[in-house]
Amino acid sequence: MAAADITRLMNNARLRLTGATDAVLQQELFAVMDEFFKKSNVWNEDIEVEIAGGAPAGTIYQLAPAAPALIDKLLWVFQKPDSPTIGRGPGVNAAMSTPGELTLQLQPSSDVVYIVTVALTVADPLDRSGYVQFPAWVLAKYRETILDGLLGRMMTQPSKPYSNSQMAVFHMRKFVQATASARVEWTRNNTYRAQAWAFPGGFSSGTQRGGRSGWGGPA
Amino acid sequence: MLEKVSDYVDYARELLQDTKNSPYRYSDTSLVRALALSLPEAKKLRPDLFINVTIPAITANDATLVPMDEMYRTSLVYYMCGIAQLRDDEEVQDQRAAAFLAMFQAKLTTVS
Repeated sequence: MAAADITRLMNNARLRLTGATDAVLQQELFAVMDEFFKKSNVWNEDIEVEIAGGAPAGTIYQLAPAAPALIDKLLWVFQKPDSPTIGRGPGVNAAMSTPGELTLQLQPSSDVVYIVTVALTVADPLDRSGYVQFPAWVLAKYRETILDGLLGRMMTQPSKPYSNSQMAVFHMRKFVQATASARVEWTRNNTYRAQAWAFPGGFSSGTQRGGRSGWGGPA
Repeated sequence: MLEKVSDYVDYARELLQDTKNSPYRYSDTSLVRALALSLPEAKKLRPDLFINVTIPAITANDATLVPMDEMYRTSLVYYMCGIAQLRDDEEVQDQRAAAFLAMFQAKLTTVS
């Protein structure tokens, strides 16, 4: 995260939360970001997985994000296209019953590379200053939302100088609404007036047959 | 500044009007014990102030650092004074003891 952004967030929180310590703010910020990412899905990562042909059904492929993060959901899986001018190959049916463990509905008969897109959420370790780590653009874009979540959670704490159940409800309501908006924006690729769907990858490189709905998700 | 055990004892003596050692009305031992008791009492009211903090053994009027956020340090002094004055059996002292202990709790849990 950018130091200026996190300083601004903390200063905004401090001046509304009389008597709050930084350690508690950092603790609650972790929880706020966890909830925000799990409900909005805005933090994604594409992970390339090499699949050996002829592996037995139910083979588990371990996924590991590059950044310090936890895999929350499997979003979609596409085959890596042969041509660099094509964004996606055909879609692949897959599941992740345990976060980080990918299983395929059908094992391919030959070696292939799949691109697995996952939604991430925050995880330990914290940075050296004790702050939770996540992409800087998230704080820059959603600073008011994150501040509302932080204020709401802090104000729900009992018997503190900054306890305020009425304001906690107010801020948490704003946080929940803004998180839902963030989720909608994400499904539209943050594009104004974009449709809430996209052509599937298979549309350009293969067939749509095979029981897939046509939903392609954010490109 | 309130940082070390000796700082807390000195400030408590000011509030207790016990700064002349001829000898002291409240001994170092009793004030240090009150300070040692104040930390778990504060932790009970405000566990958030003790995240990642280990409370040290406070046994003497020395330079041991007291782990408390600077916004809430005076509350510990109020607790020390309240405990010290509970010892006295005069009615006025009882009222002061109750007032100090109430201030300890108010400092920690309200904007006061």
